Amino acid sequence: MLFYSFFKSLVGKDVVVELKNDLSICGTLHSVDQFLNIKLTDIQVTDPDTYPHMLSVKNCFIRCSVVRYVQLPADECDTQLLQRCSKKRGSSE
Amino acid sequence: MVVKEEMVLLNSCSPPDEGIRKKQENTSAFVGERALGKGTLFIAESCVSWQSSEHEGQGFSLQYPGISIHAVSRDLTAFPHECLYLMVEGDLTDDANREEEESDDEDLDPSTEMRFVPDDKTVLDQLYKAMSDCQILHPDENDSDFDEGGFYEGEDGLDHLSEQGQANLQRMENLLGQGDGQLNNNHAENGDDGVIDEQFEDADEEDDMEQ
Repeated sequence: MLFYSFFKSLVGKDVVVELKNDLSICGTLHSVDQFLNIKLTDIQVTDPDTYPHMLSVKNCFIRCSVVRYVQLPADECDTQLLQRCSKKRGSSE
Repeated sequence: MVVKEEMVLLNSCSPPDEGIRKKQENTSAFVGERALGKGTLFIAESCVSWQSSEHEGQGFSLQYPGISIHAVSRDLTAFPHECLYLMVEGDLTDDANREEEESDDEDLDPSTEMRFVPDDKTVLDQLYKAMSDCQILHPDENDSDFDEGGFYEGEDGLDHLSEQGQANLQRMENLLGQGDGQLNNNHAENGDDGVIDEQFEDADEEDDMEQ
């Protein structure tokens, strides 16, 4: 649930979701659920030649299992907080 | 690694008979560039299915774990119709050129684009929402980490959040209809209440449209 909470705190921020098929989608994080399915709005693709139609999509739902990486805005990420949460999680196991 | 079911297009296929969230008649289907004609789209809890109305008893169905992305596309310069757009795992087209293109990238998972074009374009957002609601009913089977306990939980978490993050988190909880915030996480991860209430999610959009 750590990452669920973490992603929830980033709602409304711009992220880049990199998929396992090498498609990268930039957009505003609209919502995330406990499985880390992701909804983005105002999206753009970094490779419009391969996926020209994706430019026309305003919002999309990305299934959690196809996400490889999510690039986050550095200034929105409290890494100390993440560390504390991770430690807390570790110590409670 | 998810084992993909072999999906043969326009097979003999019967529509789902239960858990149907949305049934849309007069909906054209496209797989890649290939038009399959008109039919009926079923968005059911178990699968997304399309039945041809030109070839009775023919159709196909898609399992949710194989649907990577779904979206509503309205830009007619990219495709001549407003549509429900799907990116599906696996190469479902017979296009040999496509394989050649991808042979350089062995790690690349092939994917296929599908589009559903209902005659009635006003239902597109409903189709999108129905698919979103059903998609979250199908988490990965091996994604069981959540149930092993010890995860970040409880009220203390909120104290650790930055003001900005906390504000966002609160917004998120409201958005998801989880008014009690963190306490509900444990409940949600057990899977019984996996369906998230998204009644507010399109509120902004509707405001935009009115202006």
